[in-house]
Amino acid sequence: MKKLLAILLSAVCAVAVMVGCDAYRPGNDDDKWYEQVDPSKTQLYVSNLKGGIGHDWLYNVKQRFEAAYADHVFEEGKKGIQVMVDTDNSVNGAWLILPTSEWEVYFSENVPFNDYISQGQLLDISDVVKAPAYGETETIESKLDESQKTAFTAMNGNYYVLPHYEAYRGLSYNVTVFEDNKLFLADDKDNGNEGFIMRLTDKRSAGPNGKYGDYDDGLPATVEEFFKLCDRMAMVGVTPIVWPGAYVGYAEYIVDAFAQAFMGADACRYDLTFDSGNDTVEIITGFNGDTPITQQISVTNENGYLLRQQSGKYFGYAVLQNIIKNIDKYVYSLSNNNSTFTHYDSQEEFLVGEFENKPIGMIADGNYWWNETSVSGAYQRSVNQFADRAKAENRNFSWMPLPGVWSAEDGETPATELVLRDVMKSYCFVNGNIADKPAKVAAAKAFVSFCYTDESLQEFTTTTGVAKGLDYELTSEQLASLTKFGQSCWTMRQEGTVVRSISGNQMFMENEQEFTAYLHRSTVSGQSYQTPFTAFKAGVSAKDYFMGNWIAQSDWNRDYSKYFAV
Amino acid sequence: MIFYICMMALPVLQVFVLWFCVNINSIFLAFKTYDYETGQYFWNAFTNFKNVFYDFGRIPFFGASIRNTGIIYLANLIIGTPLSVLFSFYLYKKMPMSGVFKTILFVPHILSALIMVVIYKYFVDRAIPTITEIFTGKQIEGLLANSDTTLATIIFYNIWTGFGTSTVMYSSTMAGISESIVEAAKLDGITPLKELWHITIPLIWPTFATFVVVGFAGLFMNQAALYNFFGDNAEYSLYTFGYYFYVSMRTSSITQYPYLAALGLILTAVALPLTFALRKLMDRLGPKTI
Repeated sequence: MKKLLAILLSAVCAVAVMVGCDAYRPGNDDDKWYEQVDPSKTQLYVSNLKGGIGHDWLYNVKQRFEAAYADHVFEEGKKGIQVMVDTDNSVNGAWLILPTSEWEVYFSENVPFNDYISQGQLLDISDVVKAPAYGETETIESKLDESQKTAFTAMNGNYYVLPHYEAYRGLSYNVTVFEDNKLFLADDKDNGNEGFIMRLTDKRSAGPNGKYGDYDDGLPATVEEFFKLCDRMAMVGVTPIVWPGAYVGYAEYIVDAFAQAFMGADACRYDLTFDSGNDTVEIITGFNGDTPITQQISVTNENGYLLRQQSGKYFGYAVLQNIIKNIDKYVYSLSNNNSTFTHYDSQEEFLVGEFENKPIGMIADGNYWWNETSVSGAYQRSVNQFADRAKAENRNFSWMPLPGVWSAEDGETPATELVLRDVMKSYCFVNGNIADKPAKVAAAKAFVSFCYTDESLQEFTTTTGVAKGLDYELTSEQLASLTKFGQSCWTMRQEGTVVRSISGNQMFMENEQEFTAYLHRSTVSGQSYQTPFTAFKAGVSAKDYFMGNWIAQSDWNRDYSKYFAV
Repeated sequence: MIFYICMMALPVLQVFVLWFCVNINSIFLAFKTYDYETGQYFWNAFTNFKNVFYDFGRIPFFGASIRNTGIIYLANLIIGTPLSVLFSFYLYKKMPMSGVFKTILFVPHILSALIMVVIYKYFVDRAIPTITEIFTGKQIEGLLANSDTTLATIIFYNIWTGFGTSTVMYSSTMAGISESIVEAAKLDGITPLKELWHITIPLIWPTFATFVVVGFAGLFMNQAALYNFFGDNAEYSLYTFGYYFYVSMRTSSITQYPYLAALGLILTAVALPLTFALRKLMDRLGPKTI
């Protein structure tokens, strides 16, 4: 009996090890995309990060690319191309070991491309970027905005990366729940229903952008209205907000989204460029009681530390503090730091809440959350359980533009610029280790060019519901083919300003991690906090947290004085 | 003679290959800085060390890291080790259910650490609040969710999951104790507790001392499973140096590696003499058999 048990246990361990090893083999044959190498064709190995965007878009491009180059000879003795796709790459873009990697073209996120460029690990693709994309007349470069052109070529004048998908973080809302519970604000604030619409046909308020008849009508135009909405939700039995309790850093998405709304696009850019030119930003130099004392400053490398003091950032913290103060009322119970409640769980609760009589109004997540529900299986489970009404075409979610004004006088129509911050540093690039293989270089460049045609960009968006970080349009049919959530994100992108986490400033490029990650760390009364959620739960005020996040001039000079003359 | 030289060369070779060769680049890195224009690291003497010492006075979570690193080591030493020795003795004496307990204790080591963490999270953050509500009607936060109990919950997990290995090691060593010694003691009317204190512990002292010294040597590398629990985002109040290193390496850029290398060398410089001192102390405290 003991022998049998020992054999069984050994077998289990051996299988576990074998399965573990097998998971990293390219083209894992238990996945539906597995294919054998075709020796009559040139192979191009493409790695796509396993994440919320999925792989379907890449297979669409692969099919078209292989067909388009079916008769092309990249290397002697072979005709055509075979794109081999790595569907099992979970390695963050910052952790790639490119010199020894077998993968030749990458689509990844969190890519510190300047680090890789400086080490000579990426292939120069300037000729691809500066030439028209496959079958087009316009260059790929013409689809980039000025900030991208500057940042991508800042290291040595050449292009090494192209933008992959755009990712914004903030709040999304369930339009159906809003409509069912009449949670939109009415234009008539004294309509006897506390300013909320009574019928769906009622005229709605102008929303955050201050304009009637567009995408944000009826949404809060001030922070006060936002909390009025949260109170209303709680009153009618709707949980206002959900985020993953296992990763309370998601609560920072709310801080950032409100801060961006308060700051506007230009001030958000100065966080990265450290150069406001003749423009100024509003910073807080101290508090008179709880009232901020503000000052206008121009931003340079030398006083970059003052950017932490931008007033918009304080208001972002103030919003979250108020949410945490009312956490039992405003926030889904498991979002309250419960380590078992992951982002997939929070998305699923948000998805099915309205069918289970536990509706949730808003979710703090990225614009990729809808796509992630398919990757995690939550969407399919909801359809299995709730049939047709749970199908994508019958769901109505939307990205939520937020107000950048705390309160407004009666009769005043506040207006907030819609800012979307592209934060995921998601790029396409070619591995520099193929530089001495002309056939591979030609194939990789042809593939990159093919991926950046308008047709491929549009196909990417219609497949994933997410935009690529370039300038292109969707036809009305393509737009209609998106989910309601995808349509709303596309509309926001068209109507708002996208600020990308890039800069051509040398100080930024050489210290990108410090300027783009862990920005919410704070020290209050000798206690360091990783995230405002924990601090606010411990009773720290937004004011103290904000001030604890400031950078001392002496520390700034010590770390960055080589980028300016002290 | 050749055999003796070969045997002595083996550990020297092991240290050379597995420590020196593996770490040499990191050691040099501590004295370098990265230059973006050339894409190379170049010498900058002790600047990284100066920055580390400067940050010790400036960054409060370094203090928390020192505190938590010490607390977790001491908790394992003071609570985990005696329990483990006691339990090993229970197994060694083949008392009731000892086989079952042995299996239960070893289960955490068969399952992946991540699976264990997930199970544990569900237990402390879902099951315990539910059970408490059923029996007392009171709603409480999960033990990990509640910042007052988070560190204690992590410490408990570390003791619990470390229990299996040490128990198996101790009980195996105990199994090697000569039956004749125990028999002679029994004839003299020794009680089980006296047997443990006067016979078993002295005879397993080398194993015990090894656990204590090796645990201390890895003091600054012990991340206490924090990454499995919290990913990159554990609160600073929970930080250990091991976790700080692990997360920093995951999230840093190439310009920050030299700083981390310098911090590593400084901590090695602290841990190394203390480890030797502890080894001496254990030699002195124990029976003269080591």
